[in-house]
Amino acid sequence: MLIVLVAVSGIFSSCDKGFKDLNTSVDFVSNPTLDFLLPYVQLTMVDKNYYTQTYYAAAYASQINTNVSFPSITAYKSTEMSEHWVWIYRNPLKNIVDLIERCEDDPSRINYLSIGRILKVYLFHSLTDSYGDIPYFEAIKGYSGGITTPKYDPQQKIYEDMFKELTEAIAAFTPSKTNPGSADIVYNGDIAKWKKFANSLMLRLALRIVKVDPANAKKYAEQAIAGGLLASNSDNFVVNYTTQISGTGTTSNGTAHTWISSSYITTYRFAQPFVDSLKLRNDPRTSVYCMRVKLPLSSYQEGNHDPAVQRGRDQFAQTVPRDSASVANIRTFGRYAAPFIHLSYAQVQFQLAELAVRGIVTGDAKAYYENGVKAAMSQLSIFGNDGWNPGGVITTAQQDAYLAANPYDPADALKQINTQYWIETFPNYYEAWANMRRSGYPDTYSALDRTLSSNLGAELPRRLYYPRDEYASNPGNINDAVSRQGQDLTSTRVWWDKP
Amino acid sequence: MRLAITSLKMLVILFTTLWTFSSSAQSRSITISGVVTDAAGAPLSGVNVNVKGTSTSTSTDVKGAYSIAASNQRPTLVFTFVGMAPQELVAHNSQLNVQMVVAGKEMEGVVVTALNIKKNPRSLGYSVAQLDGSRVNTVQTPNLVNALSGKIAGVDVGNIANGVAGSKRVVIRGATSLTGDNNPLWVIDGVPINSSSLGGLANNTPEGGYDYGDGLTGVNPDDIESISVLKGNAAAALYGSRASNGVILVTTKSGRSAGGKTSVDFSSSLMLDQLYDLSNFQNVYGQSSINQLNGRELPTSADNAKGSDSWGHIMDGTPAPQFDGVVRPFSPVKNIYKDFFRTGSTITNTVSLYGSNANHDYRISVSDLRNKDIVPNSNYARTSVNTKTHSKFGKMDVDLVINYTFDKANNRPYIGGNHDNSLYSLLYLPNTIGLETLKPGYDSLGRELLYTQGVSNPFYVINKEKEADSKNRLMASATLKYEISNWLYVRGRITRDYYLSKRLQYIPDGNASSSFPYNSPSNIGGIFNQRAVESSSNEYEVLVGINPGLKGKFGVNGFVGGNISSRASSQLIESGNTFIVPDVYTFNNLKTKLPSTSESRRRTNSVFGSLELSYNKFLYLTLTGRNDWFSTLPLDNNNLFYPAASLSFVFSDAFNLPAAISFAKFRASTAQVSGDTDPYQLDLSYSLDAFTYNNTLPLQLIGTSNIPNKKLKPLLSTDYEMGLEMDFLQNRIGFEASYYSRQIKDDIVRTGVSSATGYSTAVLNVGKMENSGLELLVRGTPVKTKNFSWDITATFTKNNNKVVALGDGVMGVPIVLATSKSGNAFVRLTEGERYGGIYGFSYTIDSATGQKIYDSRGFPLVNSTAKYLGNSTYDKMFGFSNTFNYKNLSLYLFVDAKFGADIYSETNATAYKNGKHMATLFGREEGFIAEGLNQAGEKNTVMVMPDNLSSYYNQIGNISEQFIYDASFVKLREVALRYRFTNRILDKIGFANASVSLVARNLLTIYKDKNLENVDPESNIAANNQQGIERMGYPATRNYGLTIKFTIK
Repeated sequence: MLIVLVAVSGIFSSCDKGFKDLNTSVDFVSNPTLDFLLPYVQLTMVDKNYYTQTYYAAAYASQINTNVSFPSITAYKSTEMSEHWVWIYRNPLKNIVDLIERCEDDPSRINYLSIGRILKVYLFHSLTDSYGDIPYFEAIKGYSGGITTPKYDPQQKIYEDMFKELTEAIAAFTPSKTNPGSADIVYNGDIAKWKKFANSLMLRLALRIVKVDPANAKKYAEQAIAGGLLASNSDNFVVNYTTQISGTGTTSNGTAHTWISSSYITTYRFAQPFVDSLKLRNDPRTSVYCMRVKLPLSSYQEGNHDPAVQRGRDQFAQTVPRDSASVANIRTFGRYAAPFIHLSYAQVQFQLAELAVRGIVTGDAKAYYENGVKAAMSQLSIFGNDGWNPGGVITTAQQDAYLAANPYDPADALKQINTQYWIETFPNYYEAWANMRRSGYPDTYSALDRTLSSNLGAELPRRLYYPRDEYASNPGNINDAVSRQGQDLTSTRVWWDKP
Repeated sequence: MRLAITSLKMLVILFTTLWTFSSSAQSRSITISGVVTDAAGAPLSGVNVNVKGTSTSTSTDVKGAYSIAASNQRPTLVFTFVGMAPQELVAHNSQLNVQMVVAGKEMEGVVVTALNIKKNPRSLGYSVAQLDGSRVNTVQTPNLVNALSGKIAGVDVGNIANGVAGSKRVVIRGATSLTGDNNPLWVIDGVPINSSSLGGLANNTPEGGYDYGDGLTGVNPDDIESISVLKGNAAAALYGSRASNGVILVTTKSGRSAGGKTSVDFSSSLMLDQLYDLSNFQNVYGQSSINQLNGRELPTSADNAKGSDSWGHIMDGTPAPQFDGVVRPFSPVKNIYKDFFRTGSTITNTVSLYGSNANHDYRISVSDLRNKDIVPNSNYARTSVNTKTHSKFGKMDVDLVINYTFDKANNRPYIGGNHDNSLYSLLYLPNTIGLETLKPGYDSLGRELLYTQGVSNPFYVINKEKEADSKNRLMASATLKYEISNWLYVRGRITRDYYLSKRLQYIPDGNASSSFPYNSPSNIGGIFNQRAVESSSNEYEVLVGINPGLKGKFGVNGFVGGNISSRASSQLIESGNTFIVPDVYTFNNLKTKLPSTSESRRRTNSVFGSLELSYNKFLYLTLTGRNDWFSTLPLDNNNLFYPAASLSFVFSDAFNLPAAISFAKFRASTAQVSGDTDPYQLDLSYSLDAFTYNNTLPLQLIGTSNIPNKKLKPLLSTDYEMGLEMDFLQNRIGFEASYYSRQIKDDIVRTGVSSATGYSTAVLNVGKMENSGLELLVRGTPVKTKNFSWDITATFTKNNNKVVALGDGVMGVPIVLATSKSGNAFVRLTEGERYGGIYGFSYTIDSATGQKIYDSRGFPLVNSTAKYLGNSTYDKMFGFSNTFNYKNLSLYLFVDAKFGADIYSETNATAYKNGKHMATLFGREEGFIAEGLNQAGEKNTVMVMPDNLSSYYNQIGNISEQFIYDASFVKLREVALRYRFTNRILDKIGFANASVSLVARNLLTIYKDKNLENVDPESNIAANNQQGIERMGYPATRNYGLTIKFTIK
């Protein structure tokens, strides 16, 4: 009897001995290395799948044809349309917010903290520009704050906070403290460049709200300029990718997937307005961007780069046979190792040009414009290092000839500037589309043949649908957002998007 | 912790009391004698007679007489004889005559309960359903679970559309956990086995995957002697947390029935599986052409003939080029499903050798199953060796069970909304493309032959892609029971369920969906995944029990014990992509190698006790208690004590009831069971990306997509149950009825959350859920004559499963259980609603007139606020079995019916979108104006032109409401016609027993929703809680076959 009691209580006394070790996973670590986390975030700032960015944003921006009619492209297609949302929240944002939270109370990590805050603003602005009101203040607090149903915030509040974050982050940089060095795969820990990037991002955001909140647009544009903007292409925020294998891997450029995967054969082609705008101006970038596919279409292979044969496919009607339309150049953008430019000196120059035209800042709009065009052509040299001659290099002579043939026209300045911005931002589809909505240029929809049913109701879409999952998992908050912002349709305008 | 100490104290007090009580027996020697006879009154010689609890034994002489001395005043004598049921009788005086009955008859009087303790059913205060082995092995199914459907009240068996070797779903008395595993604990010969789904669809994503089956595909139905189902908490509580969903106890056959000889049983069966083609798609319009101005024109080149949809030209036989460049008439191809699938077959052979003598018995069976799936190139095989022995060495009982199973599958069918699923490919296949033109699925360079993008060639999938897995599984237990004295015993047990599984899967280069860049000249591509999965589940248990027998009219027995349950699994994963040398599909031949490992360990420590008090063999009270410590929960909140009590009152013995009532019993019980969750859910963890940047810089990220929770605590399930069991007219008719109610609180829930949290799911202690219901079993023999009898068994179950709360005090957030691939329908738990609501998007209706509203294109307007559309779980179930016996012939008919569930059909939604649904024929030539209002509230006048028809039907394809169907059904589930050979014939051929049966399963759907086209109502593809969504699941089949059984002695 005693033996039994001893045996039983023996089990009892060691009832949870060793449980802590047992319930600690041996496959993972519980403390991250910030220098490994940061490059992961930088590499994942671009969607690693092509669904939302190509199927919707690129098609809306008239840069790429996706082989469907306008009614189809604005119909509910939830899984594809939510990929951008899901990607940004669950990958780069989640990890950068974690980095921020790990640096907040550590003064020695102040530079990491500022970098984190700037990247967070960058990621959020692309989300809110695409969807409108989104979870912001309560977002990414699933673990740290236990918030499983984050509230949707009005876009205006999000913009206010993004300006505040950028201002504070720039001010907080302390050169004497540790910087990430080579773990920062964009700027190699160069704090001066980070400041320029943050100010240039502020400039982008300022111009975005120019119609809805001109006072703040002016205020932040001036602040950004005073703080110092990207001053040359060597300041560009460029993420270099490294691999040709495994399409969706972290180290490969997600935008290339559009061209390389099976879609090469039957889906994606450059859209007519985009190729036309290059060819119309005899643009030396035509052959850097485009190539004609080589027939028969049985494999992914080098095509014809001759600018003369490049052709875009009409956006929705598809009267142009696919086989005679251009795809991305396999040596530049059509490869997984293609770099991705998130923000460039050229963009900054175009924005300054527009601000000057609008009289918000003083300056020579023509000079800004020309600087922008030249920089947009020069920057392509980073794409052409894949054994293709002449690579992406566009000579100064070619740049000057282009400007000579297409001189700055003050009477048509906004159209000119924003059309150049549109060409320059390929394949940053979200940015190209957002700027089209804000500026109204280029107008690629008015000229569509309305007698064709595939063009039925074709107007520039103003936003993306929210993910269907939100109606299931966060119903109260999404319904609040919809009642505040307007119906969850692609025709509903976001806050800054005024007619 | 304090509770645990209290419970232990309680058990100690209990024990001490019992000790005093039982040792009050006095000792004085007496001699008892008597005669042992068989049922016919003939003397039995060689019967072993033992004074219980002592080594004093003797055996009967040729006249059946014995004489034995006992030191106890009223000793218990144990009579054992091979082939006969052992008997324990108390000698009230010096004379004791005994009549032995053949084993089997008397065995019905014993029920296997928790911890493999056998009890008299009279004593049970809770519902235990017993099912004889013949009920599950007459009509052979590769998975035992299928054979349970409808046969036990309160047990819902899902016939999941995932193929022969796929995992199955069983839910007892409704879902007990909001999002957790709701499948019961399976215990086979005392071994709690890992019956969870072995992967693939376990975390079912809309994209689907392979279903590697569950732990039960390895059980051979021929070996089963009986199945006990412990439904409520009181019945199952002694198994602890793993029993909160109920327990299914399987007892395999032993050698006891051999009757002193050695016998050999043979059983052989052949089942044929035939596609039950439910498809009824339009056969008028063909493939949409692409790269032409209008998809409705005939293709003019091969590249035009590469549409994936069927919005094309009318199939009028005009010659037109097809995707392969060959010009063929643009005409319909029929019967693609029948032509693609083949007749499947399952051949099962079992040989068992068994024997016994007075102290030992054994059974060894060898079984072999070969299955050929209806999907070409897919097959499954299983070989098992089961041994079971029992030996008695004086006071020591030794039971050994060793079951070894090897199973192997090749090219399991791919399940779900993915292009690797053949049914997905066939659903898209335009009517104009013949299957022959797609064969063999690849070109001379091995590249996938495609007629369109994004839809696989089903022949490529079955001929070139490869899936292979095998599993070695050992389930074993050793039980030692030692009788310390005639009232005290100690039992120790070790059980182990172990398997090692290897899985290989590859998709060769040249595959359209995984080769990057597509078909490039360097021919890179291909995906490879190989893994070794090791799993073990061990139990160590010691218990000390007392069984002092009756003291006057009072009886007592009980035990206390402790248990350690540990489970571990590990995986070595070798995956990667891009094969270097063509046609060599090994890990070593990969350009990019991505190996990884994963490991999971958990343990539960427990102490428990049970005490049964009885009065005059008609009133029984049982009290049990258990305390568990869980390794998966935070250290400061990892244990819980939970008690149970049950009462049984056989009032037909207590009172003088009318003679028509042969038996009547009332029972009542209440109990609690606790539970935990999966390991490693408390903290955030970080993993490294498979790639490094520039081959130097490691990339790190938060490795979990689930929000961890440091504050988890054990869940608690509380239930009560009442029941009445009565038999009338000498057991010609009888019933068992139960009412139960169960409430679960602090459930540990894994719920889908907004991506804006940064995660996809969260683990939370929330909620309260209730189940209540009625179960009724009626059995009877309406006709019984010398040559003819008719037996019926009917079961009825009504379960109400309600989600009471999902938050603590505040309104909780709905929990998402499942989402359709399109995202248009999802299964959600909402406070105050029935469990498993299906939600989705509906038509926008004008509230005043009830008419649909159309937009400026003339398309129906989608109401984007998700609405409740139906429910995914059945709440009413019927089973009705009939057995007709005429001389040596018997006919068994079993009807299975379920009501109250709905299903969202992704097949039909997809068929609307791609133009294959019958309904999409409307308006193809002329267009139409849909009946309804426009957004201004006026009559809709917008004409939908034929060119816009595809967009119109696409829009409807997103309106979930259109694709919700009632999933109720009545099916003729099993039919068996058996002929048992007469003794005259048997004597001639020298067999002891022989029968031949013609059997069939799923012969006929007697009733289903008439609107449900193209799919079967039982088309759920997931064995977990993701019910209510049909997603191009495995097709329905009818099964026919033959079973032959015979015994040689």
